[in-house]
Amino acid sequence: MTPTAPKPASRTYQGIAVSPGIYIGKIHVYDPVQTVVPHHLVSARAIENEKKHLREALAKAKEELQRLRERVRDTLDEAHASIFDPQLMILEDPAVVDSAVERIEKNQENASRAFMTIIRQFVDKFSSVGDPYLASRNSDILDVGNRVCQHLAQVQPESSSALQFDSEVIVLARDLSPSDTAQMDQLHVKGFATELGGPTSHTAILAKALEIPAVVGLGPFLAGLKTGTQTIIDGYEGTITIDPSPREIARARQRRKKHLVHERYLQKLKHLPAETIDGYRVDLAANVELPIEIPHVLAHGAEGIGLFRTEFQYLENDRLPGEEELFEVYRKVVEVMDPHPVIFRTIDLGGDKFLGALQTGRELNPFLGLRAIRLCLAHPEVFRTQLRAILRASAHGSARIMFPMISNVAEVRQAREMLDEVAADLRRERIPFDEEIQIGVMIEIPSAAITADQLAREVDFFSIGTNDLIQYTLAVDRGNEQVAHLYEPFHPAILRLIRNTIDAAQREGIWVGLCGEMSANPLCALLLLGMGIDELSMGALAIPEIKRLIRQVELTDARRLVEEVYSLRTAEEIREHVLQAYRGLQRKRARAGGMLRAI
Amino acid sequence: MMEQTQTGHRATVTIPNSLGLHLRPASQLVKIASKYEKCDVFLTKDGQSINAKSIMGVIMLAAEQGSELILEANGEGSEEAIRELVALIESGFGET
Repeated sequence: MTPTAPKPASRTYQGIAVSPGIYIGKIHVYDPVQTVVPHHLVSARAIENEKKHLREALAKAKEELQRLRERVRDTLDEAHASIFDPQLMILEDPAVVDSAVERIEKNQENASRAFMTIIRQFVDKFSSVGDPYLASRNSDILDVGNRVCQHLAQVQPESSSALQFDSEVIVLARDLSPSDTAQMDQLHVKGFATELGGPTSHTAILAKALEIPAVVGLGPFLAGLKTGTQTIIDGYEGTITIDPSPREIARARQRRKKHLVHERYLQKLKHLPAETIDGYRVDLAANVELPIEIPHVLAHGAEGIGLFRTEFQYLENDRLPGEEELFEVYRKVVEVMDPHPVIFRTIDLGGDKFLGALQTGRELNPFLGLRAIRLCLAHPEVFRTQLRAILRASAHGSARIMFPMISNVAEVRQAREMLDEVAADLRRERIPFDEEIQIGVMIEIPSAAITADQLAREVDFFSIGTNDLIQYTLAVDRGNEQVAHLYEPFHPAILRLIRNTIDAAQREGIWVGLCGEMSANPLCALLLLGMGIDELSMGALAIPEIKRLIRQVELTDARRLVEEVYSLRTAEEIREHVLQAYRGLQRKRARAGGMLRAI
Repeated sequence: MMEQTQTGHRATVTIPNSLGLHLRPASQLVKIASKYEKCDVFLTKDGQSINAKSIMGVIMLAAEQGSELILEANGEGSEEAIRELVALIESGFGET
């Protein structure tokens, strides 16, 4: 481009950040539906030949899917591999195959036209039913149609060749199917961005495993985009910037550099304990949503999983998983983390995560409705299945159980009673489990925080869930833009509830952790440290930062800070006070020539 | 309850599992029905009949928990086919 040529303005799209990292490079626009397959009519004599072509193509497609299935089973597990089963069945479905043959015979259509017509009819039917579940199957079904047609056209299906590259690329697509991601050229693909998809999509899972940036749910942005265009993908902010300006590139490079410096720094910190100068130690643990994050968790120096969210197995396939399926996942997690503990939070569905199987009635106020422990107590069989799986896993490492959304002592007793029954069953069946397994509750409802002294006598530990505690205490829906500004971790009420909870735990001799976003905020962490928190659990990425903070302060300073802010009346005053204290502490350390300086 | 028909066997069942005939149960059902090669197996829900050997057909039924299905098998092994399918459905497909 000459300097005088007008350069079109760059475009930035915001999506959901699902895997961190920044990459600046060329894009590859992947559109598997664009294969050219000849659709035409054939002579009467060619009918038999077309039928034969179809059978051969079906067999080849089946072989190919089976290979993919094996590959996924070897790299991930059987549960992920079974994603391909329905596609394999479609290839043998008489309603598809016989109807296609019929079209060849009666209408003298060629095989690809006959097959694709049938596939499209089903896709249209599924779309028109108005059932989002059926509609979501359509990309799988179209994938089968394309695969067969590509064999008919005797070309390699695009997914096996088009996703192999000679140089590094960011792959942009509407959506990526399991077969696309399974065949991805792992050496050259440096990022993914898709129009569709959410945090638990295949794209997200794969990107995290490969440690490359990924942004999903970008909405329509592909139209008119050309392969080879320079683009920035930012997996921290969840953006892609097409055809960036030199300034944008410079900024992205700078951000990337900062993150790389941070990564190196993290390596140094990894094996050091989170201990204050005066020797007070806090356990830093990670919040985990998917097992695939675990290598990442260990790499960031987590000393356990303080919150293992168990919902994904229920939401991924929108069905109730069986005990074995749950157990397999739990066992692996516990084994990999051993000797560090893994806290399994029992099902926390409801609120904003729904499962059709359990939640039939519509609720006017789902956050005040049949959620988490309430839902589990209302569906004892579902709850027992999960408890059995966790208990069984406890024989393979260090597992702990945590009940979410506890609002009173009766719920704890009821849940423990069910756990005891399950444990008794296991003993009878001579299935091993950890008889000393620790049982805890989440403190995330104001009533629980206020009666923490009573709850503490019922359990082995607390974990304060501040995200919900803040919402419920301040009556603020964070997702509602009009009131989101009222969501405030430094509100005196929140600090008092947390302090009350920690004090009650200490008096009753149980340990207390915190697993909300407050853990990852250095200013909040400083106050929590002063209040006497035993464990902080957060997204793994934040661990090094918080570890650095803890290693730079003295417990006595943090304690004094808690006393100082106790009398302050507004969140703004408290925040400002903590910020000044934090800066003061950092200066003090810098003067003292502390080995760890701010980056 | 299974009953004999002129050409085979028939039974009426209610879907017990909470998610209904979604993808996984549907594929289990198709797998079993397909074993009976010399026997036609049909599923009927609300007057709509489909071939139980077709995954697309079974999914299209969109049978939810509590919906009533009529199973019909005509041909060799029809009794065994119905018995096996009823057992599968009544077990809730191994789900709750």
